[in-house]
Amino acid sequence: MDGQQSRNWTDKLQTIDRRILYLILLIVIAIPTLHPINIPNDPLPMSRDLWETIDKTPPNKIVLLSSTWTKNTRGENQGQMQAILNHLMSRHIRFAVSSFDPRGTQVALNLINATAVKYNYVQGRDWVYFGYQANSMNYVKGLSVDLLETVKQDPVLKKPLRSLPVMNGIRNADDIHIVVEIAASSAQYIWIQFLKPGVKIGFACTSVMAPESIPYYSSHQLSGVLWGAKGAYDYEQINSQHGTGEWGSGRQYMGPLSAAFALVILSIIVGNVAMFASKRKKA
Amino acid sequence: MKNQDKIITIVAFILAVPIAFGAVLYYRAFGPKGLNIFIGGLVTLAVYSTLYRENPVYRMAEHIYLGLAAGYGVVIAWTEILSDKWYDPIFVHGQWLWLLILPLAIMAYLVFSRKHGWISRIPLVILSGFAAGTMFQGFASQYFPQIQDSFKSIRPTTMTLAAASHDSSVLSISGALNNAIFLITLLAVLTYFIFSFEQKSKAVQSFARTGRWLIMIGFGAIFGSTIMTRFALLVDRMYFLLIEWMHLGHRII
Repeated sequence: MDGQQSRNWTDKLQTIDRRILYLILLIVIAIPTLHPINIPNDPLPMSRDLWETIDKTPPNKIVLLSSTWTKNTRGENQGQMQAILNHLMSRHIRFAVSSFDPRGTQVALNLINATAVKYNYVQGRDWVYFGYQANSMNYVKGLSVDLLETVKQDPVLKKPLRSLPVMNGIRNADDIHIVVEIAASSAQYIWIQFLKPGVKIGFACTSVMAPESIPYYSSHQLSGVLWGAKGAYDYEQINSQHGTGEWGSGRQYMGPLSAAFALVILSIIVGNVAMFASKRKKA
Repeated sequence: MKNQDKIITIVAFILAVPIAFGAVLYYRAFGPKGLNIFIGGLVTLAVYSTLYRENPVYRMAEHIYLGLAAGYGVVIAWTEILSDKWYDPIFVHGQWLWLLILPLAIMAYLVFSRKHGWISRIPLVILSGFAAGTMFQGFASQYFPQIQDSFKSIRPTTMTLAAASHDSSVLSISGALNNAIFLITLLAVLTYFIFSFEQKSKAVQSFARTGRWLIMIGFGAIFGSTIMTRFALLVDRMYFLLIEWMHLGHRII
């Protein structure tokens, strides 16, 4: 009888309905979302390197942001881009933005326009929009030769780049200090492969893309990497240490994220204990 | 259509009236942006309904998303590519020489014709030629520095246990150990992928087996990162539903 009962609870623990687990997961995430908790954080060296590289942008150069992400990966990429924008605008660094994804342009513009109001950043004067770039290879190669001929005009302002104050002294890739690819997928490779040597490249990616990017950081092909939501938290923390930005979704999401991980680890432990207990009883 | 699907569809239609009423209230309170968020919340719930089981409401949300994404892509393709780089130069600025490329593009569409399909190979061959040339540059830029970086020192320059540094001039004991692990992993994995000849030696076989285990550890790390991404996206959706949609807390983004 005891053995039968033991087998029952071990079997039950291994066959919990997935919908019950989903419900527990939603509750576990909802609580720290409604009542935020601060998780201690130590920024990764690769996050710090990206911040420092951007911070050292000379006044005669610009930063190029490539926004190849959409609302699908808002949880990771928006926090990263917001933190980078806060940094750029608080330091009055000129920047340009383009995208390899047609939907990536609008999310970038929405974010920049919302942030620009706080820092009094004006399009055409402090930042410029290079638009959606369908032919990524030709775009990157073209930047190295003649930026003004490759992009020609700001598609929103409908004005030639030559006429915009933000482009003063900017002619080709030599005048770009760093390209930061903010992407949901592996869009960094096009920059690594075809961008003029000497121009630095940073990568703000989803966590799923981060492991395969580390070798490129190790070989100095990438100057820095932001690892998903953790990368956003890192950047916000470094920003706050230097007074170059506010806290955002990076810190906000770390509490619910940690709670979800704890639930997964607990579920794995419970499932395995039940499995071994069940095997022992059967033996 | 199954009975349960019919019930879900009927309930969805019945709920359409209070939802429409809610949309009007949202619009009055928060304006057009509020209406966007209201619809976004409903669509998020519709998509998450598939966690319970596959249903018509989920399918409708999925089809709306695909239709919107396709439509948006077409608009952007015209406003930021075709208009900017093709129509305006030819018809506004009078650069008629761009029209010479048009026959090449039309040839590509002949792939749909059985009789003239072979013509579509001409632009493909030209593009393949360009791609082959540029890809060598891409390969060299991407992988040559990787090969160079795989030659790592395993002799520490300083007798400290500091964490591995990105500064290559300083190598601590832990950094040297890190490099040694890297080299063993590299050689073991490469050994595993040697299929040109049979691996008869026991030592080589066990080294290759180690390589396979190390690959599995790597895959485990990648899978862990995948989970991290999926959860971050779920956390963001929960933030959207609870804070932005239901206004249950202070909004920070």
